[in-house]
Amino acid sequence: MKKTAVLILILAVCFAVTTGWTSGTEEEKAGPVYLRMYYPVGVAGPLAQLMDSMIADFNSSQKDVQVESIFAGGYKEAMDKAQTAFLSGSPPELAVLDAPNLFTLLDIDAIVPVDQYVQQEGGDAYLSTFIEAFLKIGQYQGKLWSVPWQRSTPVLYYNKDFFQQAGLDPNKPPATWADLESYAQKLTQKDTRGNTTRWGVMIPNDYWIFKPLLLQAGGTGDSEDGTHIVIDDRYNRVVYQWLNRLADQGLTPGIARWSQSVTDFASGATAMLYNSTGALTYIRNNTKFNFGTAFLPKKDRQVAIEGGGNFFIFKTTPRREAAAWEVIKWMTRPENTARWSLGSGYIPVKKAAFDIPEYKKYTDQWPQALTAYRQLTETDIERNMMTHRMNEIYDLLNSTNEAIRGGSDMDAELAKAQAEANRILSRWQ
Amino acid sequence: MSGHRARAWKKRIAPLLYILPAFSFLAIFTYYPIAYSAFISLFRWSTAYPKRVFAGFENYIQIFHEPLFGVVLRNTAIYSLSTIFFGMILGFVFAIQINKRIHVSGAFKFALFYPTMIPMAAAGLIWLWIYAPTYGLLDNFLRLLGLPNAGLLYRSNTALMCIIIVSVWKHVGYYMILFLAGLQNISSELIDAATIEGAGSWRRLRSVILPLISSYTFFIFIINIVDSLQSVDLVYIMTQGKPANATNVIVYYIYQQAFRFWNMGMGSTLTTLLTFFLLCCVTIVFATVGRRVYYEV
Repeated sequence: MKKTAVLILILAVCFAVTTGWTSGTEEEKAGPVYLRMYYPVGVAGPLAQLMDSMIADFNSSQKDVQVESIFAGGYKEAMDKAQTAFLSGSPPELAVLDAPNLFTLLDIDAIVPVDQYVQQEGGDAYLSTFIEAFLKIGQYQGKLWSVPWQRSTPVLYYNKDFFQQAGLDPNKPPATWADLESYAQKLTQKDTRGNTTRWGVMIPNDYWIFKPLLLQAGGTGDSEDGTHIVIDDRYNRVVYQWLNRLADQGLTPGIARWSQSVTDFASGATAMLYNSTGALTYIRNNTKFNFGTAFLPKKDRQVAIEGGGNFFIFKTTPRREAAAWEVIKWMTRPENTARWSLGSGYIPVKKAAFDIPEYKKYTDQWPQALTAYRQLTETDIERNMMTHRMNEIYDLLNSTNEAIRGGSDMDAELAKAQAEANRILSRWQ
Repeated sequence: MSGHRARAWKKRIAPLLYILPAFSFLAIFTYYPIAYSAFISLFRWSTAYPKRVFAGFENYIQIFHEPLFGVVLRNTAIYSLSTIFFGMILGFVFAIQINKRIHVSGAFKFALFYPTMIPMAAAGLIWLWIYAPTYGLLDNFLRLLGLPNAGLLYRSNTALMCIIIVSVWKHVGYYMILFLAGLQNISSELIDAATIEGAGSWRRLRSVILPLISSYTFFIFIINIVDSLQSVDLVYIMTQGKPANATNVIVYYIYQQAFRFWNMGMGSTLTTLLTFFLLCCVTIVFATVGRRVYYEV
């Protein structure tokens, strides 16, 4: 008898588990809404702690919406997890993702636009409180699909102490590619056998750094609608030839990894570095030397791109979607976006953040933090690379970059990559 | 009569009930996913085709036209063959040495077995630091010897070798312990008898020791094949397939296709091919080498 009872119990549990009886798919009608938010950390530093504590503050600020913040790795991994969760039927309600994932998220029909919520908050008047350049990448077919959060531009970090030792003016960072090359020649240190012991400059093998170089050289790259990308052309060659010339002189390593390069700069392994302004706080806290930040050196054009992560609301239920908006609204308040900026180095996404006394004090003490914002407002800014099947294109571009700068034949690699990119995007061409 | 029949029924059913718990786990977490991924592999299902479309064997044809697939196969072959070869040879050599000198220092044994106990993620991070270009332990050491900066992990022609070294370092202690168990199971009379018969050390190794430990060697060989083809953790932690796909091996490629590119059809195709290939490998090994294995009864 007892055995039969146990057996029935086991079967009942199995049934419950397999039929989703316990998973509570019914929408609750009352009580707080529980949300899950995936977020990435795209730069060096303990940003996950800051994000978790901000979300904890949000949770305690009210009772209606309770958020669980889930650290999901780098930008790549966060997108991997979010799309997998969505396609397997349990998306997070909210996620911070690399903004150029928009086309992919639209292709799989994963997200909802935020326009109705923006209307509630006052429409254009509300939007105008954001820094305009950051809204562009979320706009598509007349709708706004994402809200800026951790936004940045690449900047040039340079070690002022090394500048001084090399007889360079620490308040005069390189303004052009030619400057950069001659500065790097002075800043690079080699041992008696000709091995580089300190690099002049590090330029990570990441398309987010490559695209500005391409634009500076006069090229274009990806099309506005995300269906084409130009890889095999004259301008790509100009950039790679220059990068390889720097590497051949031993001024820069052919391969430099994204976050590793930040640690390298902080430890003095390189005198200059191309990286995100989002790495600023890490560098500020981990260097004993004086450092400066500067606009990216120009060639034919003075131009950079914007980048970074936006909030996306996933398709769930109207109640959850509305609750997700509450989180976004709170997080992008001027004081909170200023707090995030202080803790990371990202540019605050709201204009009013710059007037907050605490933030002013910070930028007075660390004017380096304003470089990215000034670059955004004072120079040409173009959109981050954004295509359909973004992850595939991005990996392809980066591995091509590594191949060419690692010594493979440039013409062959560019032709191969162009063919591959066309194949990946063929459905839209 | 009926009591007899009930007992017979019990005899037939009871064993099935005993394996039921283990079998249900296998069925739910192993057999079902294998079957399901084989099923999905027949569909076009990706971010470009979010609603899956039946495509027959299209993915199986398409995969051989993927330029990256050839590179990945080459990398996987080099990685597997080298880790199997060096892992087994070194494991065996260390086991012989330790077996010879019973009083070999504990520190030495510990040093050999220690890597096995470190979590894979930690091992990957340790070696990342060793390989770090310019200021890493290895490059510093090379500079002391007057050699140029290597930055081995960042070069496409040496990166895979770096990972192979870590993998061998990580696994060799485990293989050594297994070999050692085999060696210590050989009764000394057999060795002594061979010695009296005039067998030199090479002859003893070839004609006595190797045949007697063949069941261990066989086991190590099998887990080595499976381990090496399945390994992905070091690649994920240390290089993520970089630079320029020089360290992209099959399971990482599957991850990339299935979860990064969300090309589920292709990811499942690759998974099915890998499962099938492993099954073939193991079957062939069992049918050939396995026949000649000597099991001590």
